[in-house]
Amino acid sequence: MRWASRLKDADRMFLIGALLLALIVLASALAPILSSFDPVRGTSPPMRAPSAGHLFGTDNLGRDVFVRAFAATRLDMMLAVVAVGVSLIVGTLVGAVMGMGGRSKVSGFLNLVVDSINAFPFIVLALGVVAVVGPSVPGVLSAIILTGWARYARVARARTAVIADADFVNAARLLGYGRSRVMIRHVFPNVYSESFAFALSELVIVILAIASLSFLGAGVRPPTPELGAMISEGRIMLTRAWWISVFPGAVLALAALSIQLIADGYERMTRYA
Amino acid sequence: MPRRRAGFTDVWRRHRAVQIVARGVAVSFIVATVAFSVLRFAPGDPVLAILGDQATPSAVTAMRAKLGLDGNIFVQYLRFLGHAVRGDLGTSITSGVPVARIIGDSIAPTLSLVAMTAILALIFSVPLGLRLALAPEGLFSKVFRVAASLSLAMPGFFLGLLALLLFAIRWGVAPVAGFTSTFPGALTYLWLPALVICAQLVPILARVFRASVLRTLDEEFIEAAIVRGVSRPRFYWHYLIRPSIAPTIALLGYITGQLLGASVMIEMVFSMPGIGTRLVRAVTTRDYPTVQGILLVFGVLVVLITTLSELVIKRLDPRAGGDR
Repeated sequence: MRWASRLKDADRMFLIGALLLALIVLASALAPILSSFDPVRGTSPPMRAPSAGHLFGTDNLGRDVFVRAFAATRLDMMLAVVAVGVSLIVGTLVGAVMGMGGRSKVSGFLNLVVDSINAFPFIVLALGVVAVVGPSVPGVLSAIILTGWARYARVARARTAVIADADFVNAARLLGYGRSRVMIRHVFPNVYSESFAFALSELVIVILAIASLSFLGAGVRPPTPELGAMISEGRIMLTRAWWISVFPGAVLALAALSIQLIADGYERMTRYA
Repeated sequence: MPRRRAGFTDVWRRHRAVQIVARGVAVSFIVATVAFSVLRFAPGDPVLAILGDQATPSAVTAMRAKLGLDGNIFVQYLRFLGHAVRGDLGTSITSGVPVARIIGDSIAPTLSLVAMTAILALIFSVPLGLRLALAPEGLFSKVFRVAASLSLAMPGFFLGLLALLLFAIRWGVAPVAGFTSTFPGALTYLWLPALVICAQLVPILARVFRASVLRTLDEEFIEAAIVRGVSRPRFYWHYLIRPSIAPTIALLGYITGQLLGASVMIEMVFSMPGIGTRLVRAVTTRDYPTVQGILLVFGVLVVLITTLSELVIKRLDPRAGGDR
């Protein structure tokens, strides 16, 4: 009975999250195409409060905040998916090798690298990488991938170590299957499902991290529309024109919330189903 | 195995405190290695980034020497470690001030913020976790769950900005920017930023504390205490809170890194002259020695706080990690 009520809860969370995300994705795909306002060049009167013509108002350069916010969401989401995708693949592979490697020298060394990267505050190390690569789209991507893969490696390492010793894996070994077949057909699918659930929850953190870096001026730079950068630009005008910062912030929070609901729902569904 | 006199290994094994501290020292070196590696192995060349493409070869060589990027990588590494151990973290390129001094001048606001946040977070999480554990299926728990997902999805810097707008600008109950290092005065600058970080920290801590209280409630000594009629305050503190709090403090120690990361963002929002603000400035002005030095300090801070929290746990709950 208990798991049934939880399952319903998880379904509900997943559904609400998916609906919200679908709305945001739809808006960020359509707004820049359908709207006549340009997200980068300002053509309207500046600093106008939200109205029917400009749902989120206009900023100090006369740009429509609605179009800019959703163009920014599109960029942020694409960056986050790429960053999470690459770190997921690299981290899971390295973690699987570490988990299977046992006490070999290679996995000992990888362990050290992974643990020491994870010891740092994520955002601090990412800032360090941006210092070298430069505040730009490639800078943000490399910062997040270089510091992010280690967390997937940790998850995959722990999971692989458990799976590699499971009865069905030992059975496969006894049947005489080769190392790579055991690894690919028996171990990896079980590791991957957990890593995927982790990646979903990681997507929230990464979107917020991209916006955070840009907010600090160490990410995507203006005039490119990016949510964190927009919030930062509107900061000095907060008392006179709150909408320039607050609407992009709200869109960012909603995007993060929708993905978090999906991630939580997915995790609960796979755990209790 | 023949009998031998108590030696180094026995001290090692018996005194877990010694073990914890020794591991902290070892991990500090690894952390230093990461701080060293970022400038060397991240894609891109710091020297060209500072000087531009048109730099003369002699200028490049001079800058390389100034950044400690000349010579063989092992030589660089040993030199970096040697200087760092003696407290020499290089000199800022933009201001010419020793990096160690920059850090010394800006570390107080950051440490105060982190300490204040940790204390506030515990003050909020313990009663909250208790309440959640004692009534797991009520309305209170439902409200908590919704509020927790909302605050976790909220970008911290945006929450900070909203708090600044409401509390400091609209209502004027908190200062808009700055910091003072005198004791009671500092609290006026700290309480709002600390509360903002708590908004994201408390839900996590309360959830963990709730889980460990639930586990403690199953213990036999709880039943024994109830039967014996132990007084209420004594029951809550000695029988319920103290045996349950170790995982929460462990988590607090473990997420110190995240806490320090959050403080970087919040310092920027509240314009506090802390080490995070200095780091961001160093990153945007490409002041590499300062970036490297601050990375090192952040890493060592994380290790230090994790080590301290392990020692605290050992005192609070002797069961934690006896002979592992």
